[in-house]
Amino acid sequence: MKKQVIALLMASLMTFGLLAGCGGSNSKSDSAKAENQQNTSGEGTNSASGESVTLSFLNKYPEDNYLPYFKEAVSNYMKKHPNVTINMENVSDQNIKDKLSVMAAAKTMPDIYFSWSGEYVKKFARSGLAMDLTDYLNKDTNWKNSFLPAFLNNSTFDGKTYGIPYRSSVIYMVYNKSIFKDLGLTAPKTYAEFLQVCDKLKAAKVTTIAFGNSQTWYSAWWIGQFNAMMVNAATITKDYNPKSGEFTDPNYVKAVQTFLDLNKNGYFGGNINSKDYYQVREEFCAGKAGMMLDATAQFSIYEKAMGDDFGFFKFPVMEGAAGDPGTITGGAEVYCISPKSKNPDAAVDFVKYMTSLEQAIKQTKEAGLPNCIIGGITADNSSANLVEAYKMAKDYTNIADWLDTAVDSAVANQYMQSVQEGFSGNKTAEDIIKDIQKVAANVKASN
Amino acid sequence: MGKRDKKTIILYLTPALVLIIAFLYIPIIINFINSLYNWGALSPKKTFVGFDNYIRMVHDSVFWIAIRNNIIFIVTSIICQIGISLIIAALLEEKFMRRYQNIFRSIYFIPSLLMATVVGIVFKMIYSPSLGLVNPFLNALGVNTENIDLLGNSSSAIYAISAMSQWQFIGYNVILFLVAIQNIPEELYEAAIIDGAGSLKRFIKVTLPMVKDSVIINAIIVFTGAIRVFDEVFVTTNGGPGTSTETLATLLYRMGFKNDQMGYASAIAFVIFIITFIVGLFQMKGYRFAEE
Repeated sequence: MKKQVIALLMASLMTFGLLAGCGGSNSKSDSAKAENQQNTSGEGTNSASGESVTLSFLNKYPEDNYLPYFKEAVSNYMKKHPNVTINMENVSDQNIKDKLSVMAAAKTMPDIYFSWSGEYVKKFARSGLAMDLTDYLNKDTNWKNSFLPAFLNNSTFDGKTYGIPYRSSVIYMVYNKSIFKDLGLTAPKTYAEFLQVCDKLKAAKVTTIAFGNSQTWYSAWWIGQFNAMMVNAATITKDYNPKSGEFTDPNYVKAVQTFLDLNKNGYFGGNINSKDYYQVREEFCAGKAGMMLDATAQFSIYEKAMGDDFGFFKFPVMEGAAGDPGTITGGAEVYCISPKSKNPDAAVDFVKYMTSLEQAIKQTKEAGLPNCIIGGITADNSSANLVEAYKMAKDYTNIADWLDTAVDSAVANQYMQSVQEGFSGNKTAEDIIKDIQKVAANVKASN
Repeated sequence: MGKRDKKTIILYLTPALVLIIAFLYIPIIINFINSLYNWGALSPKKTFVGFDNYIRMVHDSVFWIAIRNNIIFIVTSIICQIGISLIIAALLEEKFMRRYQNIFRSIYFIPSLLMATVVGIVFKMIYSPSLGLVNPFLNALGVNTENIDLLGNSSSAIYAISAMSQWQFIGYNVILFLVAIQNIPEELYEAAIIDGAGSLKRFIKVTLPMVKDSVIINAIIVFTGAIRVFDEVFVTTNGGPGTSTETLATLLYRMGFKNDQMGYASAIAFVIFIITFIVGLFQMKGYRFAEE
């Protein structure tokens, strides 16, 4: 008998012990002022007003030059609202797409989470993973009207807004002023002038354009811009929509060919498939390249590294091309709120705080991340370069999303993958677009 | 066996059985059912498509590239981690190496203690034409390295990754085979020496037959590891350049989490399972065969 009891006890202990270890953290949520738990997937605790509230917050800034600002902003908010605890997790740019995918698959988004604007946030909206914030915005028109319209519109579809923009970015061609001065070059305005500048840099044995494609999103920037410049705007709108995408316009092939030609003519240096964006940026900052494509969001990094040597010019206009010359690639990063959040009001309040003029100015000043608030980029919080860049940006009439967030992810991935093969010499521009057409047809069929 | 003993046995087995069924068998069945649908994490629809995903797989050129890459991995892994490891182990057991055996064991074994991600990042730098060690080394030997970009060139990338994997795991298998060889009774070798057998003959006629069990088991483990290879590829090239280093596992990951085509990914997962299951069956048969 004794043996039986012991055996039973052991068996149940083993079972429960193992099962407890595998279980989720759903039952842990009632702790009030918790210390920094690494709890990212959950909804917050139940709260009537005044009771303890815990919010989970997924952000994209773990790096040293950004993190201190966010940490301070979060702790300031918690000091002003002692009943709110915010657990912030930061995942890097390269990895957050995967993290968001995994969370979406499990249908558990954090209370507040990062997203890119445009098609990317549309995806979340369509699957019911991002809350419709239109009512919150309409109830507080001061808040709503504080945003630069182009960026707020980028996350608004059919009149409903799903993301609140907090970081804006527009691409420019950055260049090394002293290299240009030494060779007597001036910033080109048209694409023809740009190619001449490239030739002169190449003749002087300088790496003309810093570019690396081992992280393929970087080529998506170039392709997106060439598409915007060379393909008719209405055609693009139709093709980027997953329900109607066909990519049959021959200008898509021309756009890819223009990009591949830059590599064929040796302007990118060699071995681009084993270098990535960060490596070539280091090389550019060290003065080893003439030009590089980048965005205002990264200006602060160049200013720190290169000081007065850092210059930028608008992406050269292609005269006679079919695209809209007033469109520039760029976009916003937004905060979304999970519709399953147990504390949506608290979450919206936190987002309001993070996008208030005061915080936005601080964000740009301390972290160098340009905000989306009207009057938010001033000589006080931004370098002269940024102020100038945002002034120049006012000339643009429209923003084209980053290609890898503007189209269905299957199409984007096929673009990036086929272009990489194009760089290896294994595919022509026609082949690449044929791949895109096939994937676009699949996407269209399943939508 | 009394009634009491039978009950005890069942009680002790139950927890493990419950876990295996809940976390192994049921998910396999659910995964197969999922592969018959088109669904995605971010899409609201789940449509039944029957075997469409499998038909798509057979016509997908990237799938066959993945199979090719996995075969390359399997072949190089078997040759290096079984063949070369065995030879190194046999050499370390030779009388003249006994003194240095410990040092060599440590040197060979340490790489297998490293995390795959660490090894991946380090080798990415080593192979880099601008920052790395391989190109300057080849330059010093007089080889023209202008076009050599081991990870950036679609024809060499998968071999470079495989080489990195062999570097990491040869030592691990050396240790396993050393143990097996050390279990061979000395008398067999002495008898062979008396009969006039040289080193090579002793290796072929004594060592090899006696470690057959160990070799077969290791070979299966190496094989299943090579079928499921993910970390090494993901950290170095993420399937690139283009699709030249895609493996079944990276393809599964890309289809499921990047392209949001979970049904297709489930189908690929099921294919991986079938391949490993069949090989596992052969293992059991081969093991019994070796016992006889």
